[in-house]
Amino acid sequence: MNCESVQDLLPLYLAGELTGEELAGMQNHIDACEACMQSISADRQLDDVLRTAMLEHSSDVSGVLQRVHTEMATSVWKRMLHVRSLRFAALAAMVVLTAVLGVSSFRAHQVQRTMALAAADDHYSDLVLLRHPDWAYQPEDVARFMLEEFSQQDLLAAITPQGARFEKVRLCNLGGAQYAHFVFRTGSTETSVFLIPNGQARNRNDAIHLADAGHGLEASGFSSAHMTGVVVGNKGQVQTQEIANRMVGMF
Amino acid sequence: MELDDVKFVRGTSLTMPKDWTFEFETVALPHAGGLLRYALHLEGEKARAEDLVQETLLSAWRHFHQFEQGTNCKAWLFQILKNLHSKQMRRMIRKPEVSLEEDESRLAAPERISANQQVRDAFARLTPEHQEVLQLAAVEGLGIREVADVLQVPQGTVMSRLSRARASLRSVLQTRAFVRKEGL
Repeated sequence: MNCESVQDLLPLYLAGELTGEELAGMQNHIDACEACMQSISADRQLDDVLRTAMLEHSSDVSGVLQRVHTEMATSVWKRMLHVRSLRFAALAAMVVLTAVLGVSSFRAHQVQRTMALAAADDHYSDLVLLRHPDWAYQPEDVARFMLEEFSQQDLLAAITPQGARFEKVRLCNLGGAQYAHFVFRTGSTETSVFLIPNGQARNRNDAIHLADAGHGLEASGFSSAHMTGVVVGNKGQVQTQEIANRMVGMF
Repeated sequence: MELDDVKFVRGTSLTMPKDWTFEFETVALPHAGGLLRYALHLEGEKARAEDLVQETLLSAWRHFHQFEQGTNCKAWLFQILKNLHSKQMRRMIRKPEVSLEEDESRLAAPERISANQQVRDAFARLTPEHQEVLQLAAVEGLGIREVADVLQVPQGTVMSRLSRARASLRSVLQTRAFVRKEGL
């Protein structure tokens, strides 16, 4: 493989879609060719810089989600009411009553549920698929990050789950709101804590626990006087609800 | 025989179709943020972009039983969004509006422009085609084939367009001090 064919295949390589002989050929060439290695590294860094810049500027999506949840709930009621059976009539009546009594709290709950699911998805992208390279690991980088994003001193030590050690942190975007994504490790188990200072939060959320947040994960959302966040971990291995409750008491 | 048929029909009418709510909330709704970013690129105005995302998600919800579980839901949603937008554009050809946010960024004092803002400004100078392919591949993380499906163009076109888009972005950024700092 020569430099020209490497350039042709570069988009596939950066997307992680090269396989077999082409991947091996590419790898061999890069190992031997300083110019191609630098070109790939520069493209990768350009993508990272662009992604970070665009995600920082994302719009809040909670308004759209509220409208979608309302429409989804309406379509479920319609479907239930179309079923010609008395055994669903009582359930349908209950759903309608619940809707009349608390549509707004229902919507807020659903949006918060979506945020918790988005956090679980981010945990999966970050820690299983390893999609994001922009983590702060080094003590000086982490210290700078904490200083820029949070006013509380010793926050990192305070939020570290019992028996776990801090591993890394990065900024991520959940539904248009920027969260700090902290990763803690206990043996081979990783726990994610997503935090947003309330001054930056657009919506205050109540506590929520999702025993199944997809990807084999569970998630617990919390909100206290000063902080809103979500804790994510492997189902049954990480006591997300317990950690979230501790955070509520802390802030 | 006839009675059995009647029973079967009545039995069917008592059965609820599968409720996909949990699956939809788990695999589709977390992509709402990415959809809104892409919709903003296509529409150029927030209210219209939000309407497009809402329409996309509700369309996906109505057809979620057709989604092949295990395949990339994000790519599927982006395809729906692009199709809906194309339909709208066919109905009415309109000039893209410049958003207020863009105006504000252009008027911002140089000392207040962050590195990320410089990157966004550089991105805004690219052609719509280059912006779109970079947004789908580099920002949203779709694969080459998935981008080709969304844009309805061959994979080779996506690859060459992506290479040119990266080169253009680098070229715009190279006029700024930011690039020297980041070493791009």
